[in-house]
Amino acid sequence: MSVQVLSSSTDEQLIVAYAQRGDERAIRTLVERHQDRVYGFLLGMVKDPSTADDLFQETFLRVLKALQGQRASYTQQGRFLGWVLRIARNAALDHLRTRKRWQDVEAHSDQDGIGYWDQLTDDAPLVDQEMDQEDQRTWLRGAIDKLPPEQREVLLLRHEAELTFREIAALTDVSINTALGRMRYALLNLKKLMPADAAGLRA
Amino acid sequence: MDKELQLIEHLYDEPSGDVRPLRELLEDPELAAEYQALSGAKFALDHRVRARPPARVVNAIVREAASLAQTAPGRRSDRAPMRLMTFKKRGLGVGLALAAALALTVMVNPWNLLTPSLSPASMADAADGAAPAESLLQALPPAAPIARHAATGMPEWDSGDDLRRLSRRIQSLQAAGVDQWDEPAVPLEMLPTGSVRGVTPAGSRR
Repeated sequence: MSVQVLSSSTDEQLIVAYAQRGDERAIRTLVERHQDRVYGFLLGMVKDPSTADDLFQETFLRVLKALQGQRASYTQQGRFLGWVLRIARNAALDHLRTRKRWQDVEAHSDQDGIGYWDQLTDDAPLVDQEMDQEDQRTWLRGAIDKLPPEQREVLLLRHEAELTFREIAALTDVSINTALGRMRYALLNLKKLMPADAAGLRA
Repeated sequence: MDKELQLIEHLYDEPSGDVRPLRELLEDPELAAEYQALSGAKFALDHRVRARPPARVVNAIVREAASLAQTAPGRRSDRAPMRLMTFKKRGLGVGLALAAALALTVMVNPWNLLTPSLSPASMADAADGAAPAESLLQALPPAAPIARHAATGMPEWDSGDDLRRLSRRIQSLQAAGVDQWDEPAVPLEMLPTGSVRGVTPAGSRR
């Protein structure tokens, strides 16, 4: 199978090429096709590039074993990406649970009763000068990291993994209204954290 | 569904059936302000730089894939190719088979109607000098007469002795472990096919 044919093949065809003939080029094509979505989601979840590398590798090793029949959880009836993301999400949650980092930000502090998100000001200018691209990247990553875990997860699944809200609801086992609500709060909170004069970040 | 959630559906171009038109929603000043805020945050997310895993990570996965493919038990490459025939193609195959059967019936039946009987004489004539079937039978050596049991009058081969001998032979083979007769049949795919000398599935022949 030529490289051109591989790149135009569907996920299912690549899976068959690997499962039947052990074609490693098919697996490379499959991994490279979805690497941004899966890695972006993992990095956003664990926030550490080195850990994201490990989890990315672990995710696809589980995928490979499943495709070789050692862990038969892929039925070829659904989207390949959705299945991979389910494995990636479980791997990320396992990692975060062991480090006890999957804890929501307290809605209200114990002392003054003012919630964390209530303290954020809307449209408050955080920087006085235009941010270059690296600054934008750093700012955005930092802002996403500050989101409550449930909101961050939906945002990452929509913007990094490019799942629909219906797929997100199925993956996270919530109603579609809950998924939409989390996305709404994620965007509004992100907007609160957004620098007023951040060039290129405004619509 | 809440109007605020309907805004999210419009923002991501995923409106469900019961969502009001965006223009109608934006007539409310509060909703219009929220939509503007949501759009600003989404714009920043849409224009962010995507992260990508290092090439060494992808290479490690591919190496592991090659290793797993080599060591996997019963590599599928030795089996007949997976059938990916679609329902449409199956339907086409069935249709072709039916058409062929119909064509054969149409060709054969009139011929049978036109030639209701073929006598040996006519066959001999038609064979253009070939010997008729009766003459071939007569040329065969006479069959040995079947011995019959004196008391029952049944043929000797039906007396049961041969059957008993065969049964004893089977029992001795089973006792020797030559084969496990009681085990269910093993599918062809289960036979060892790792080497070139092994069984080659018909589907993999070129």
